[in-house]
Amino acid sequence: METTIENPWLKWQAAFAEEGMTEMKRWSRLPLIAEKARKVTKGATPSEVVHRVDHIKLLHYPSSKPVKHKTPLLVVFALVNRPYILDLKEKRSVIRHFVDAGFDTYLIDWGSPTLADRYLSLDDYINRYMDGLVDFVCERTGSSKTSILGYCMGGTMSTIYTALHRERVANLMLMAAGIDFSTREGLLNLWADPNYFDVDDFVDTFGNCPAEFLQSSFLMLKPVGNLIEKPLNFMENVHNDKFVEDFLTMETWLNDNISVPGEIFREFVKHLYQKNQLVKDELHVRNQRVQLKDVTCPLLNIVAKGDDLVPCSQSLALNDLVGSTDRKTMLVPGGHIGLAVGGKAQRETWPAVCEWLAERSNFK
Amino acid sequence: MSEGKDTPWEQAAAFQKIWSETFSKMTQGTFQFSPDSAPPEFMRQMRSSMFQALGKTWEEFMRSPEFLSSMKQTMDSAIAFKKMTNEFLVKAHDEMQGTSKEDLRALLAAVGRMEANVHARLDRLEERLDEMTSKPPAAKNKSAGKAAARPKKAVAKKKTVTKKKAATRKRSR
Repeated sequence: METTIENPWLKWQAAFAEEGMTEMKRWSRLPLIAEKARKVTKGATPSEVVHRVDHIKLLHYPSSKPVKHKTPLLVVFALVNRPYILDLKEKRSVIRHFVDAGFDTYLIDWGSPTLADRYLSLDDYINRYMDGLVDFVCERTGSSKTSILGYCMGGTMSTIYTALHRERVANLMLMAAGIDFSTREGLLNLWADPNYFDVDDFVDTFGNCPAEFLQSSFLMLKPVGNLIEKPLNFMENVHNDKFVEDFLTMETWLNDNISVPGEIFREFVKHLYQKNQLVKDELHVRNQRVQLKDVTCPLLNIVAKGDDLVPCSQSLALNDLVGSTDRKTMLVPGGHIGLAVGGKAQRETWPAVCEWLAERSNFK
Repeated sequence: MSEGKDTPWEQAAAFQKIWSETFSKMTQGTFQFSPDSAPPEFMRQMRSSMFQALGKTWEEFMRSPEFLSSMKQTMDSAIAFKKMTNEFLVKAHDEMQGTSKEDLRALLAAVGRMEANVHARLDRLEERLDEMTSKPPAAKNKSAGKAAARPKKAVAKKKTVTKKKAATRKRSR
């Protein structure tokens, strides 16, 4: 009688033998991990520092191909991590997409704050630093306006900047930007509740928000995944060179947290997370009220479906609050970081974003 | 139960509950195997379902009032400890006649306040300048006429002075 079912005992024997061989490969690759970790590079696309203000650098990404679009692009990242996640590897680079699409691309590297930066506030970052850098980019490129791409906290800051300085912004693109903090979907929103977190006491005692505190908070959002599954997964795939390279690159960035200046941390937690003033038009920056309806430029809101750091509902609220008539939402599968470096995002989302922006940028 | 202040017993009970729930969900996951799977694959599937169950239970627990209050207690203790070490170090620096972080902080705060004052003054100056430059046309012409008249007089005066100087020089020679 013919049968398709294999002998399970033989199948199990073969599986054990294969697993044994793989285990030997894993152990043989372990001594090479340290060397591979040392070779990890931060940033793939060639860049040059074109301007410095205090500890902040403005990076420009020159291209061998001619620039096609007159309106330059300024990328604004969050204050809590290094910005090279947007340019992690050759085939995982958001910056590369824009450079190859012919955009004159700039990125703000906020640097690492020191004790002296403890009193830097939203006003300093938005009205002094961002406005100054936008001025510089416009002057350098001969354009009266610039397009802005903001990621996470950088997206929130970019929204506030656009509301206050709309005459300088041609297009606003946001990635996982927190706008409406009333939701309790995300654990961070819950943990930042004033009943459980006294931000004034925290900032008055610690000064700048320590990088270790932020790192621990992010890890605790998924403790099982980050502390148990991830190391096990790494050990199981340590014989796979490509996996190890990707893993080490990502881990280098994930552990490269920086501290956040005390005052802006206090303002973010108090005025946004706790009092949700941005959506209520109650947020003031240097006595100027921030009103989301003052954002009138074309808006592209890119949101990750599986984002546990900035849940969808936090970002999606923006489109109904702005004054823009040209507004679009892109809901992308993946998490907070997958939005930038995920395979699908690289293949589908970013080419579409470049297309959207190209239609709204003056041609040279 | 007093509001926001769970006793250690209540917190321990909450921890016990989460572990018992976790183990029951994990054991449910162990029965989802297929006899066709080889042992290593079967072990991975079992492990994956166990971790999934563990992850879900932990997330529920991290939203519970017990966890949040224990988190607040931990944070309060950390802040109190940091304050204590800060005070100790400030005293130590003062005794050694050195500069402490607190002194630097006070200095930075003072610089920040000065900076804010300067910015406020610059803003007020900018407003006044805007007001002056945005005067109505009639007022502008009047003031322009006055301004036009002034330089001529100054030039005339300068010429007279220059002539006088030249005359003085001639006489001295």
